[in-house]
Amino acid sequence: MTKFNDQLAQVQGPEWLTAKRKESLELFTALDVPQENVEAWKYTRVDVDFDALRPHGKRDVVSDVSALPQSVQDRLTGTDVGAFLVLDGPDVVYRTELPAELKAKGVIFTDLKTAVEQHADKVQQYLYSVVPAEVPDDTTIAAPGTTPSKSPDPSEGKFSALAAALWTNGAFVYVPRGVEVELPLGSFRVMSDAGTYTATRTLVVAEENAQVTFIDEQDSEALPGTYAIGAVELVVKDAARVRYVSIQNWGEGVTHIQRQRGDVGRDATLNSLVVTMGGTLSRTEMQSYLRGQGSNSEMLALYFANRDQHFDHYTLQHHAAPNAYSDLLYKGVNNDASVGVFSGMIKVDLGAQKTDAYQKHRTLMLSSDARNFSVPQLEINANDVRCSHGSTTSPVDQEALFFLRSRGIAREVAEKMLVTAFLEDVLGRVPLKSVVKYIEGIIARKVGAA
Amino acid sequence: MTHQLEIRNLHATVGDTEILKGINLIVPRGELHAIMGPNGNGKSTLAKVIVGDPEYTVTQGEVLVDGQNILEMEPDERARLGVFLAFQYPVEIPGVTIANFLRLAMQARKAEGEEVSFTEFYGKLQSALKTLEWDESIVERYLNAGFSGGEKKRNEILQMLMLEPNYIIMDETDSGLDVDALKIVARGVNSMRGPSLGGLIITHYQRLLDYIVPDKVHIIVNGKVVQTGGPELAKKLDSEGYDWVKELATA
Repeated sequence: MTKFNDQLAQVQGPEWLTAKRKESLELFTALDVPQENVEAWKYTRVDVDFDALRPHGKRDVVSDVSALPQSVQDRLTGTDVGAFLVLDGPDVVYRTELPAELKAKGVIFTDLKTAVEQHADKVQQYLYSVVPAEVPDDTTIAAPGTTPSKSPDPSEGKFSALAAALWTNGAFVYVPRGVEVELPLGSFRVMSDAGTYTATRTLVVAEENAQVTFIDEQDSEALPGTYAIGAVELVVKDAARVRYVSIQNWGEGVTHIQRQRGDVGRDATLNSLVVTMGGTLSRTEMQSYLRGQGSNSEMLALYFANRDQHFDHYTLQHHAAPNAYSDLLYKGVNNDASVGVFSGMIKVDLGAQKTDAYQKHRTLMLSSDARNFSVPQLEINANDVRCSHGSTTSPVDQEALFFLRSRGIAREVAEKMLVTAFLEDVLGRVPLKSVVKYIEGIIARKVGAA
Repeated sequence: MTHQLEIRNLHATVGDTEILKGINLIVPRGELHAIMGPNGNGKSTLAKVIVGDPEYTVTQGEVLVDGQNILEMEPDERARLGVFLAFQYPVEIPGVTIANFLRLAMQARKAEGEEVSFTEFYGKLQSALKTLEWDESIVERYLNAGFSGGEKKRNEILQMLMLEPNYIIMDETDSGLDVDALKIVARGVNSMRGPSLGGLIITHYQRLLDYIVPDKVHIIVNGKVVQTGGPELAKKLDSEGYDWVKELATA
């Protein structure tokens, strides 16, 4: 691990941060990669030789969009984000500025490295507060005398420790109290160096009654043996509204491991959408910690796995306060020899009365070689709650298929229509026209190639 | 080529049960024939077998469309040959808009490399929606999702008008429709009537036939055509009920 120590020396920062990084690296070194006996990682093995990993090469900052990779340029022409960062590998290579009126209201949108320098107090207050190096301890609070829930396994912190120690850059968003940011903000992450890793970090802070949407997109060409390790922290203060969208469309060969977690205050709302389309192995965690009374979390996801893709989605709806509402809908398609894993946990602490928590996972299986593992779980310690979870796996609806064919549409086209419709259903709940259009494009390409 | 839909000694089963027991029918283009009969005697099965519903197995007989046996064809091939079933229970497909669905169905009828033009699509659509007294915004909705029974039936007629089939089969399109919806559906069908359109109007009641007057009426009982007559036969059924035709089947 001396190599990682060298890398630690490369990532600069003030003393508090350097200390935190060092501590995180020690944790990383001490932990094993999670094995099969760890419930939350039962169906997903990450085979990685850390000693052989080198960091993604640095890329030059460009002053004009035309110098960016073509795929990024294409994407940027179709986006309506108010301001964005482009990261190639470890660092920002291009950016647009926040509109002046938002700056005037105190909104901050910059990269995390710059934020550490220019907004030290804010960053120090919130960084690592939602996604620390170690696995968050979501052990539920149980009634005295009853058995508390199983604590997470320390190894679940392996990759988050790496992301905590060696993150190079990422986005930082801060929205002051009562300010509403209308247009989404976003980061477009690409990679261009095969056989390497990147560790990035995003921090979004919405103060009381503030509102913001953040789009986190990842896209690359095929990159064999490449690792993208990420952490996303969403601080949603009382009555604030945050919408977070992550769209993972890495090229073949990429292993994507990202923990995304929101800390949701009183009467606050977090809407998340996770889209997983790319990479070869993908593990995306979306966690909502409903800290405040009356808080609200909508958790949506859609994915389409084909060939030998392995997509693992881990979700947590942790109700720590009464009268909170969470609603999860994950829909996925598995084709060819792909594997889908869904582990969804609903936790309700003692005292979190009047909890409403729903969880639905729907899988469409297009191939008999594909596999799906769906593990919905409930841990309820309050006695006045409404919780439901359910998981279904089915092939394409034969009645619908026949209907389309009876109108002259060939089987192959009709199947594609039904697959698209299955996923489209989730997008119908996302009020972001431009992003939805982009996602529809990715789905169409993927369905077309199926 | 004979421009007609001909059904020759058609036998079909669902599971182990034989439902159609030797149906014979000829419907030339230019004519619409009503198919009547008590429920559960094979009317809907006949409709579904013609369009190739995989739930049914044909054990004997032929269905000839303009002289060509279609029973070995895939359901979409049959449709492209001009056979159209207006379903009794159209499916809901959330996620597929009506507009997209119609465009793809029209596209399926084009030769390779030929596209449905905007003018063609939009022109047809405007005229069809006008006939059906429907607002254009309907086509942005998902296919039948959350539609009332009447809206679903109207949507079947919209598809019929857009796809301009040669042979239509209407499977109890009138069931569950109020009189206003019934008139709209009938207007849609009548607007297509002419020398190039043939078809079967399957119904249990005379009501729809007041608006779509059939050229002939066939009565199916126990999987066979037991009587054929003119429009007056439908009226007789309406006033006298089905008991007397059941006796015909056992005779």
